Amino acid sequence: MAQVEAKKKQEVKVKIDYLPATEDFKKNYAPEAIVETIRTDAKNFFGVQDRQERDTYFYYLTFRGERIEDTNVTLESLVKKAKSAHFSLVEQITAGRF
Amino acid sequence: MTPYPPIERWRLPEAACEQTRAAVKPAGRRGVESGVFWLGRRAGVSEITAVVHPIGEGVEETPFYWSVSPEVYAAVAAWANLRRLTLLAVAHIHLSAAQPRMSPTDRTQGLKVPDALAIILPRGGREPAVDAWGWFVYEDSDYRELESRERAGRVELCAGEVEFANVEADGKGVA
Repeated sequence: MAQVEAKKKQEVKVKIDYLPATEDFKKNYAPEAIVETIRTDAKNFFGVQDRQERDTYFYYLTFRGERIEDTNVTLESLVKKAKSAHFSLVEQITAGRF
Repeated sequence: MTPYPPIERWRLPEAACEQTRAAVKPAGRRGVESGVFWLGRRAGVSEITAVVHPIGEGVEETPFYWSVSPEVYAAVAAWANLRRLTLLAVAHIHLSAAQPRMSPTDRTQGLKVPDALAIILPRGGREPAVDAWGWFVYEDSDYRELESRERAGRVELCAGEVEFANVEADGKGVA
């Protein structure tokens, strides 16, 4: 029980905003959670998906104003010992050929 | 709970229309397209309370399209988040005086969330009559035009103040 409590205390409160959305995505993650998992959860919450149509749509996360280029890292490696972290989800559209 | 509550009507201060035209007309005079974001608090009746004009590096204003880089978009998101505002609409100009139609680029690169508005100002933003603007709403995975009667019923022009800001990629917001 004590170990469970200790583990819960380690979780990071993640909040992600998306400009067109009213609600933020909020969920607690273990520090060792992979950022790509969080990105996927956020995309599902906001109802968007990376995709290629005529153009290519990709949704990335920013943290402290910087784009997260490598999402195959742990949450802890980004936020260090912070108990909470605020990200933004941003749409990138790469125009395809006409 | 949905992050996109349905919108039945929009309250649009006339000041937002004027600020929009003031922001985009210089580009129109140069023969290129430009645009702004309309922000507010999303609800059944959503009021536009801010007009954001993206500027600087990452904003492409050309004779054929207007586009904003993800970095600029992120800066707008940061600006909006501080004020708890949501992106409700994107307004941009076409240079032609013809009845505004959404181009394939407008459709594919526009805001794609339910009840998002896309507004097109013809004549490079010189047209003051909102009835002559193109009004489109995103529904069922595509934009459809709001015909004039529906537009008049769902978009209420009103009095009121609107915050205006130029926002650029480094996060500067200049009122």
